Amino acid sequence: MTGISRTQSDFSYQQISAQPEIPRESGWSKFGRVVGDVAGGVLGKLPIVGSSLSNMGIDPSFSKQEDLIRLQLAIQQQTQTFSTISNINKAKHDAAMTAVRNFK
Amino acid sequence: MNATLPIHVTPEEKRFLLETGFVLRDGDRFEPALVVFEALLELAEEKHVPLVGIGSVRFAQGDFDGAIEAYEEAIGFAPDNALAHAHLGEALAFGKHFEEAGLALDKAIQLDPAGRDGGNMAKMVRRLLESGLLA
Repeated sequence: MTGISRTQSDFSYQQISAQPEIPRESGWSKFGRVVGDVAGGVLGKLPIVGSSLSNMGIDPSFSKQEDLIRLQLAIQQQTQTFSTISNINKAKHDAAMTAVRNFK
Repeated sequence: MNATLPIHVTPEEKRFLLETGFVLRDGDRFEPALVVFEALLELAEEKHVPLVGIGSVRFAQGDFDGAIEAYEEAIGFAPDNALAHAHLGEALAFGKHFEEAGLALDKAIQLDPAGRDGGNMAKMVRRLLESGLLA
C-alpha cells in the first residue's frame, strides 16, 4: 500500500463530496459586506441630503450635483477597496503556490 | 519513511496533498481541508507549511484567534518564514491587533523583499491596514 492511499483512507468520500459547509462569515467576506454596506448607506442617504438642502432654500440643482459627487466618490472608494482585496487574494494565492512548489 | 506512520510518501504526493488542502479550503470544504493539512503535519518535514494551511482554514472560518495560534506555531518551527509572518499579520489585522499586525507584516517584508514567498502578500495587507478600512 502506498502512502497516498493510506492518507486518503483518513477522510471519506462522503466528506469530500458533501455539500459545502455553511461557514461562519470569513474575514474577507465580512469585510466585503461591511464595505458594501457603507457604500449602500451613502447611496441610501443621498435623497435625504438632497431634500434637506432643498428645505434649507439651497438650489436643488446644486444638491443634485453634490449627490452625484458623493455617488462618484462612493463608487471610487468601493472600486479601490475591491481592487485591494483582489490584489491581496492574488498575492496570497501566488505565495501558497510557491509554498506548494517548494514543499518537502 | 515517516517517523510515526509506517508509510512512505513521495515529495510529489506531499505537494499534491498540500495543493488539495488549499483547493478544498478555497471551495469552503473546511473540514476535509483540515484533515488534509493535519495529515501533512504528520507526513511532512516542513511542519510550518501545513500549519499555515490550518491557520488559513481557521481564518476563512472567521476564527482569527485560532488562526493566530496556528501561525504562531508555524513561526515556532520556522522563525524566518515570510509566509507564516504574512499570514499572522493578516489574522492580527482582522482581529484588530493593529500594532502587532504591522510588526508581523514588516517582518514578512523584511524576510522576503523579493515578494515571492509572502512578502508581496504582506505589502498588500500592510496597504490595507494603513488605509484604515479595518478599523
